[in-house]
Amino acid sequence: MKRTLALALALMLVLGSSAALAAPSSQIVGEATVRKQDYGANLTQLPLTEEPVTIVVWKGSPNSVVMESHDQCIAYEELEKRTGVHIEWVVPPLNSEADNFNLRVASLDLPHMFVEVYDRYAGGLAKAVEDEIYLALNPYYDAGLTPNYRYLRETYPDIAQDTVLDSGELAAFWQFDYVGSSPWSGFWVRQDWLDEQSLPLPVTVDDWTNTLRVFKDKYDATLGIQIGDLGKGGGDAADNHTVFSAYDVAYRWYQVDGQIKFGPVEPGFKQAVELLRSWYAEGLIDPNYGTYDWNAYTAKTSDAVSYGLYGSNYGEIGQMKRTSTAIDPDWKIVPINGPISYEGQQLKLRQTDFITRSQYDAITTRAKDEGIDELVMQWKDYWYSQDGGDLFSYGVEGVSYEWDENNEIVWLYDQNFDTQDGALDFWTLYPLFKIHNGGYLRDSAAYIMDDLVWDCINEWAKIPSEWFMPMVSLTAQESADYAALYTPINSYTTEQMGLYISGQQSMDSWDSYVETLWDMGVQDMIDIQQDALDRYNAR
Amino acid sequence: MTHASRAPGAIGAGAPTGRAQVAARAAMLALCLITALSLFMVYVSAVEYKTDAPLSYTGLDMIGRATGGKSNGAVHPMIIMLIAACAALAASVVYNKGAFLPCLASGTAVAALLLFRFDMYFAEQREFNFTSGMTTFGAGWYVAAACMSAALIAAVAHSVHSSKRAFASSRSGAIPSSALPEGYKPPSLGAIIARDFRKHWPVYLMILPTLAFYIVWCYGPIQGIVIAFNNFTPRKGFWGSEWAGLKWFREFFRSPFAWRTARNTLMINVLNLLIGFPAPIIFALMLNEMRGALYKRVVQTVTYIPHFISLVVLCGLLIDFVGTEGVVTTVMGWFGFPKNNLLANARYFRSVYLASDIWQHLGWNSIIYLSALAGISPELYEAAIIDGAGKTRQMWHVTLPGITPTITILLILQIGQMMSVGYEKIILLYNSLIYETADVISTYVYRIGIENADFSRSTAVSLFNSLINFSLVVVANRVSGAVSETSLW
Amino acid sequence: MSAIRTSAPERAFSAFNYVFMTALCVICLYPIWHVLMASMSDPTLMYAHQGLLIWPIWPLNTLGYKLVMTNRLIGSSFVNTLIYLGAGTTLNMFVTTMGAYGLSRKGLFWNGALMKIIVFTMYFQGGLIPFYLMVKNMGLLNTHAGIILPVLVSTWNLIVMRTTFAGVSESLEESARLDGASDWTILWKIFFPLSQATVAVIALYYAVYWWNNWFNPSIFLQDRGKYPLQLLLREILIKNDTQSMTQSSMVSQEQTSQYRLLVKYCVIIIATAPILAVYPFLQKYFVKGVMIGSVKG
Repeated sequence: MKRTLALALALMLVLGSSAALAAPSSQIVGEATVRKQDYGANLTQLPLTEEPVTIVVWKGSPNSVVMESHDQCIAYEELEKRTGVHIEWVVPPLNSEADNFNLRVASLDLPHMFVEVYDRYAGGLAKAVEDEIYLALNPYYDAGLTPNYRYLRETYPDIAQDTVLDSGELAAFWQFDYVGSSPWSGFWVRQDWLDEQSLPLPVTVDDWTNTLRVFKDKYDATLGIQIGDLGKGGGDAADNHTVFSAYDVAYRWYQVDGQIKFGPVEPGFKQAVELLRSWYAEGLIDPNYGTYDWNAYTAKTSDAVSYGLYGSNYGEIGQMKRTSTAIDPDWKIVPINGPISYEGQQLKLRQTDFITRSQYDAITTRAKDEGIDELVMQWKDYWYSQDGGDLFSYGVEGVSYEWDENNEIVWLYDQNFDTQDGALDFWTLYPLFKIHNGGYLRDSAAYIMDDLVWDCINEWAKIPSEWFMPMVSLTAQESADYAALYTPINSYTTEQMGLYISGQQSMDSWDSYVETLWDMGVQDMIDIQQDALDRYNAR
Repeated sequence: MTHASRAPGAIGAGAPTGRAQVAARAAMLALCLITALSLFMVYVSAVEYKTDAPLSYTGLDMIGRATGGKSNGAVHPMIIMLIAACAALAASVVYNKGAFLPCLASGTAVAALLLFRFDMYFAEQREFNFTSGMTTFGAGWYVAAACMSAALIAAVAHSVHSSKRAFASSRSGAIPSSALPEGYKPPSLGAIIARDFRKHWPVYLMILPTLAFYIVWCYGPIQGIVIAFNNFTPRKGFWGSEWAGLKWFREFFRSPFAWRTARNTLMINVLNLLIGFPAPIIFALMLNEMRGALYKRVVQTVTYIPHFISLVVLCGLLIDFVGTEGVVTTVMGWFGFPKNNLLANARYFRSVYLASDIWQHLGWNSIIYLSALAGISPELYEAAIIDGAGKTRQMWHVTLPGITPTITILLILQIGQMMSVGYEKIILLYNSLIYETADVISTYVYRIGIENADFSRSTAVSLFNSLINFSLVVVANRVSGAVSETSLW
Repeated sequence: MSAIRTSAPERAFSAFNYVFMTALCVICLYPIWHVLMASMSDPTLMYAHQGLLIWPIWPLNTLGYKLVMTNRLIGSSFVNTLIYLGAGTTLNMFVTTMGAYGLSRKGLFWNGALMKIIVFTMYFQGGLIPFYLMVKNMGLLNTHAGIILPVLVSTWNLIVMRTTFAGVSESLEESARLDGASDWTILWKIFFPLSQATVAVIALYYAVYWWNNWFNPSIFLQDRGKYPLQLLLREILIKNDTQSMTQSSMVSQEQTSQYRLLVKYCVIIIATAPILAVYPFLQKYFVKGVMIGSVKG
């Protein structure tokens, strides 16, 4: 395995040659340059087949103005050229992905592969294998049909630990990010306003309150937050632990030295809710926050003019910067971390991702039923070779990118894909030559991002994420039990929190509310998670 | 049950007359009233009108304690099932004179439910083990289910019997049985069917496409209901999946959502029945009184417009409009209301929901009344005018009776929807701040079914919901048939 | 009734009536008006605008419409919707009318049972999975027929129609029968024209269903070329919310979020305008009077 010297120091840490990879918290990337990698291997014998074979792949609609179907992405075209396997796409309508997936599974109208399924299968990965919907990799893995995937697992213990179920099954093809980009969301504050009002960067809870008051007073701006809402997709608090981290609790699950904790029943949670409540009462939080769905929320992201502090995704900051500076030329933001509630506090929670991302592609049992399971496995495994990973991360060499003499990337998309003379930027065009999510060996830095994005990531990454839950797996039975407990508890606590924050409910009832949570079975949930964590640590 | 049974030819068939009939109707009405009242009381006792009090599960607790339950959600199944049983009882009384079997069935159902409640109470105490709490719990349910099927069979048998009788009597005309020749035998069922088919085959042929549609697209997939009783897994199919009995029903009744969703569903519907249902009727009547064909047409066209806005769009607009800076809030601000986001407070949700519903469908729903109004013969009005009736009296004596059948049919259908509210609109509107009033059975079913793919559980909940709606429509139809002689079937 | 002299309370009522109706019209119209005006406004100023909107905010802007219209599938989806609407409504009406006529006939042995069987399905359905399997097993996935056939009859419409037919005067039918008319002739030559108002209402109900239909297509269609307009518009709405719609050379980077709002308004107008344009032509049927009512025992 070659090491590219030019790699950033932080990257070296991640890829350190010592057997034990460092904790995910040390994945810090300091710069935007994309360099040629040699992370995976190239062990596939191409082409895979001489006869024409078609694999049916289910994938969400390309949400793009520049393309109508996945066929238009040159990476897939190139993949077909290399492997000899043709892809037939099965595409659900936008925003109906979950329904479509569930319906197809329930009526056994399966494709050969589901792409980007996250935890769509109710009951979890283990259940999906047990129910004979997903096909476990093990026999093929053991038979050497997935050499590249095996290479990655054997070379990187983190990957090995995260991709196996406790039953020993390899249930899916996970996505691996070999350039850790996390954390990809966090807070920022309007620096120009701070300067104007000669305020320091807010650090403590009181600083935050003060800053928000001034912003509200002078600019009529409020704190934009999203605190988990059922069925609305995505939640800022769930990822960033918004102000909960200030009181040393997570929004939901976290672990302290191998000990599982559930945020909502911890004392710190009440303090956080009280803080949010006082902010809400003063009008420092956007009073409409409860009614935002994900779309409205992201729309507000770029509406930077009216927002003082905000959590945001890295891909959006660049866009937001352009929009905002056009409206207000003075617009300037600086990334900050969550507030602290006492002197010398070290925050321990933030948004975190692992090398193994929480999403995967799953091969279904249809492949086996039709007798092309071995081919499908080999074909999917190619996505994990260095060549395959490059294909999906950068596109086709010479068409969408090329390496310069320093092995740094030179994007060619503007020459070959922009049909509107420079009007279309990278973020509009990339679906034409590379893919974003899905199970493959990904260079997650292979995007054109504003420097501001990297500033943010570096700032947010200063917080360790040692309390973060690793990717534990539950057995099918545990999954069912857990879901039966978690679903009502989660919606109950989400709802109650909304009532407390918005002042519709008195804080006096907090203790009985927490008691209700315990009655609803929090302890049983903790036990399930604890078992899973212990098993994970023992892997 | 059928109209034929009340067809003129059937007069001799022994229908109750005079005082007996009046008494029967009074009894039916009383039963309906009792059912409606109990529904209302359940609601009133469950919701605290003290607006300062926190909106929470306290309403639930209150009833819980009042009826001897111990913790959250202990009583709702009993209340809901009692309502259902009352409805079933009313239905069976209303059903017909010789309704011994249905009466027995629902009576037993009530007993079974009490047993079930009993068991539940002790199960909560965790002291009582009647072989095993779960078994008795289940047993009660099986009894109830058996009763329900018995009632259904009885209903079908009754219907076949009565149509047979009606058919026979329509053949023999008004001839009293004593006048029939000695040794006359009524034709056998087979003969009746054969004769009926020979006579009416062209009509049956015309019904055939409709029937085929229902067989293929409604009864074909109906086997899917079975998954309410098992742990559905796709590979094992509808019938091969592991049997779960009434587990999903049980879990639903025990969950804190059962009562709240049922209450919210009912409340939205009660309000809709009180406000939303009469609104288009009043609108149609007012429009009918207007002169000037052009203006009338303009009003009509304009009021239909909102109906054509798709739901996704409507809800998007609504969220914008009732936000703190929205149009609606701004206008309300002119009248001194505080500028609140109306969808961020549980107290306003029902008003927002109902108002937007009326706004969207007022004009459209009036179509059917307007066409009924247009069907009233002008001669009737002329006669009324000759009799010296003013506008008001014309309205009461001509217009309203003229559209009553239409109102009745729609009312029956509406009552059949008392326990259902479409999920789409609420899903698009609600958020965790207003679940207390916004979460209804269908949104709950949607969440567990579509989002969590918990198909068995969601099928069970919606099946339960359908059962209630179905019994409601049966009762409403029967009552209406008895009181106003207009009925759905 | 116009011959009678109007009294003071009647005049007062009449005046109130006009005022009320006018107010109602304003309320019904305003949101659409708001959207229409917003869709033509300057996006940046519109973005910052709060409260009522009576006239578009100058300068007028049609770029929003252009953005929506650049979607390649708009044309085909419009044609698809017309196909679903035309074929669907015709078939719906044909089957429903025949079924309603048959079921409204008195003295048929099976009618009572059939009606119960039909009403039963309003309350008990098998759910989405078996329904999907049925479509799949009949080979109707991804076909136009697969969209139309599973919703051939709406029970609600069937009941309304049956009620109307049951109310048609029996003497007309009897005299036709004496002239030797068959059921077929009686239905199409007597009942159908006599019930014109209801027929038109029901047809409109079906047509509106087809116009707004997107759920079944979203499940059963694979080929985007078969998408109806509403499904496509829904995608556009979502797309524009997730930013990509407005990223085109026509819109400067600075204005994307403003244009997102604009596109939303334009989509609403496009989705609503055609049916509104057709509507006044249908309306005359609703004024024509034919008895719609119910069975009188």
